[in-house]
Amino acid sequence: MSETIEQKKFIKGKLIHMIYYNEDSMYGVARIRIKETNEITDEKEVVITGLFPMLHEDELYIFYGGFTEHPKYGRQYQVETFQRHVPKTRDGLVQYLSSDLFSGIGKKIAESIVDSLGENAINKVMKDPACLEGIPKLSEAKAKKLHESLLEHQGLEQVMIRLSEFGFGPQLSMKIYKTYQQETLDIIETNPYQMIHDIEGIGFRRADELGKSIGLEGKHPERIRAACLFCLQELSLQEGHVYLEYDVLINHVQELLNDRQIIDEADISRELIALYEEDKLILDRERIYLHSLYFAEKGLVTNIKRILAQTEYNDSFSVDAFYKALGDLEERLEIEYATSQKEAIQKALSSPLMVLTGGPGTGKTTVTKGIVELYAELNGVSLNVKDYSKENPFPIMLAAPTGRAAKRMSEATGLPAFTIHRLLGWKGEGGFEKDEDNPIKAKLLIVDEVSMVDVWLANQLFKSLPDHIQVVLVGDEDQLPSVGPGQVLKDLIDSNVIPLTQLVDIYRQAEGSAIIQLAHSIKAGETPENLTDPTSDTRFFPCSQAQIQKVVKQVCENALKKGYTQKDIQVLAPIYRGSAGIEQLNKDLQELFNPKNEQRRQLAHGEVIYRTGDKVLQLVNNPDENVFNGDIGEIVSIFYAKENTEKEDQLVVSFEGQEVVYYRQDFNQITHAYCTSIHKAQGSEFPIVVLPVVRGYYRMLRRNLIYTAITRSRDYLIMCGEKPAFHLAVEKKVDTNRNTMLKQKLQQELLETLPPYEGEENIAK
Amino acid sequence: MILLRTFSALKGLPVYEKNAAGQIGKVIDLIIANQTIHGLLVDWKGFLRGHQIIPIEAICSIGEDGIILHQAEPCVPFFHRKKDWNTMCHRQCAIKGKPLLKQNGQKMGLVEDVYFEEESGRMLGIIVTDGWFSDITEGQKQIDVTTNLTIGKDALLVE
Repeated sequence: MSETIEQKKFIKGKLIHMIYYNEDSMYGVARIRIKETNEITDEKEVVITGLFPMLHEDELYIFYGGFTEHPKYGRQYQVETFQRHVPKTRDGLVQYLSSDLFSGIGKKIAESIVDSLGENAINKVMKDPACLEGIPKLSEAKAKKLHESLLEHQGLEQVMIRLSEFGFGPQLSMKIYKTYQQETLDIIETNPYQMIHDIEGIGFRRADELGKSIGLEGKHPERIRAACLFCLQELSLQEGHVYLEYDVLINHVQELLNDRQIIDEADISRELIALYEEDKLILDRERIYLHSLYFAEKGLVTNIKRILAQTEYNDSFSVDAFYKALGDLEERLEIEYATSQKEAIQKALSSPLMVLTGGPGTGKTTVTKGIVELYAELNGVSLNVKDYSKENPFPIMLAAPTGRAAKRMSEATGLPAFTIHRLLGWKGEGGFEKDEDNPIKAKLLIVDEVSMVDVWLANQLFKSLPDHIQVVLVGDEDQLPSVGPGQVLKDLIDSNVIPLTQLVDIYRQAEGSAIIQLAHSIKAGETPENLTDPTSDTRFFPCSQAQIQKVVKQVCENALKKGYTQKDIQVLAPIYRGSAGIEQLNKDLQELFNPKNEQRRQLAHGEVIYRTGDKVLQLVNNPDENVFNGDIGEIVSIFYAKENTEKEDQLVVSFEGQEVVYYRQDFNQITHAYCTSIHKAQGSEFPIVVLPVVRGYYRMLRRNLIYTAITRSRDYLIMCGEKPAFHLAVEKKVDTNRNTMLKQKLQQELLETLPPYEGEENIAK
Repeated sequence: MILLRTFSALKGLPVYEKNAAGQIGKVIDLIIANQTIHGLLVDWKGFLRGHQIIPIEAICSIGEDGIILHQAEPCVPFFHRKKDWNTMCHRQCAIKGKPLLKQNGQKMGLVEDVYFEEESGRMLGIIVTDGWFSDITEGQKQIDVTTNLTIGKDALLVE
């Protein structure tokens, strides 16, 4: 009881020095000289920890919080909130203003400011910098600078105090302040819902609480609008829908808003129309689109139509010439194309756009190589990259959604291949360099792993195509759909209006590859009876979820003994948390592959320890450094802050020889890659795949997930876990039909203008 | 005594480990690094094995009916081979069938086989062929390559 009556506990003090400070999270540890406190302590100095901005030595701060006992570092003061002590007395003010915080202001000027504005000078200046006019020796530039610095120092604290009243923790408050700077208070007090779009970590509910506290309640239009946009965005991004049906959206919005009073459909509908009129979303009959998704879908259709309208390829070469060139190629490569593969090559070369699909081992790569070689042969094009220059660029372009897939393509064809982002000149925030006004320069474009391309990227790619180009899209429609919205490959196939070749016969390692046979039986929805029987390239070790860690470790240890390296062995799991989750497995495997060693440097980032030699995965696209989401690299060196001129901890990661430096704030762009998610492994291939499958993954288990995981393995596949869980996954064909209109729009546009494509027999499976 | 070996005599021989005496696999190719035989490419029986490179130092003895190894480890999976390594007949990096040229531009024939020292792996000679007919009429030629030999993408050059 006495706690509540007593004044809030505080320590008032000055900084002695910062022990640790992370600018990214704003977490700091500092030693403070105590000036005044109502805590019981005899000490004159104290170590404080918590979230606060970089402290300045000249300022006096008041920290509110309490003492805690840290198991390792002993007694510390845990700061909950803090405040900078604003000097009130004349001397204090002068001292404050003439301190190092404000450049260009000396004692003289400070005195004249305080003399003319009084003891409330700081507040006055902050409210109206014009009051500084007329102060002797204070130039306009200096006045401006003073105002800015004051705002900078003061703004954050005011915002933090205000936000803490609304129940926001210091971490989120910092984030909000970083986003809006001086406008923070304005925005949170007028339209807190704005934060949903601008600040990661603030959802509708959080903003709504804030909204409620300032009176935006119930049927308030801003509230309903925010809810509509929030639902639309969430459902599009999380479930991969390109649009939402009217009823579905209304239901979701009502569910979100109904806490005390019922919101009528009419109210929501009215706001939806208003949003439409303000151009915030698109209404297309019963379908509601996010702006960017609607135009991506529409643009994609328009551009596919444009590409398909080319007729010059129909008879660009004679059948005789084709077969002669094909014969030569077969001789040169010492392979023999099957009839279906020959047809695929011929069709690709005589169509403006073709989709080539097939499971593993059906010869997609071989056909791709054939298309490239024969294109060069029939069009008299050299395949030697050195024959080309900037003015006369290489006419064949190969691209894939991930760096690893591009690399694989390049290895298979012997030609350069890029990520789609690189091909389109992605500049991060600045968008794409290539578009309709600045198209890519190529005559033949082959894109692999199209199943991973979402509607946004597909649109960007197609609108960057020149008017004269042949395009081949290669992919496996049974794999996981793209992470982003849409199901472009599936829609293109289902539309029946785009030339299509489906390869169904298995060729690769035709006899004996149990991996490929397994993949094909999973595709057909069957779990093989003899799943647990050892074969030449697969194993299944039955074990329980509790044993997974041990089994995975043992399997990897065994492979290591046989001469494989951490690069060859990839553990794939569907979920992050839990004893058989990615995080735990990464920890175990780091211990196995790259254990703690006096000679190896290491850096801690939260709970994760990065060590020289660690295998890491890039999580975001970084076009500046030419590394992309899904790339795997190795930490080659670690520099501690005290050793370099930047005074920052650094990790150097080598991606196939490409070295990239990561500072602390970039550490969340990477993660350990001993075990990765199956989604992240899409588009990559590994010599050995270790795949735990247990019922603990229940939520994620489904056929295309297991199929994708299995088809990532090139030489060996080692499964472990529970057979029933495996069976369950294969049985569960989640109807992942995403809401898209791509198929219908393609049919609508193309059936009228083009004769229906005569390729039905290929479409039948 | 220097024991000379050819690839054709080794190909297909079973490989055994000295202590275990169990058959590991069969020789399918040679791994050639510069002018020496780095090791044997063995098709190794068993899971997680496949094509593995066994360094020449691991060989204890080569007999008519088999090869005995001191020990099987350490070996290297074939796909971990260095980029500048060659093989006799593996598709991407085979020297068999490539033309052997003298530095004056004279073509000696197509590579058919190699001779090397069993102990050190040093390559001593290359057997070339001018085709089946001349093999019968003239016999295969043996070219001394103890001097400088360059293995290129399209041909082999000897001084």
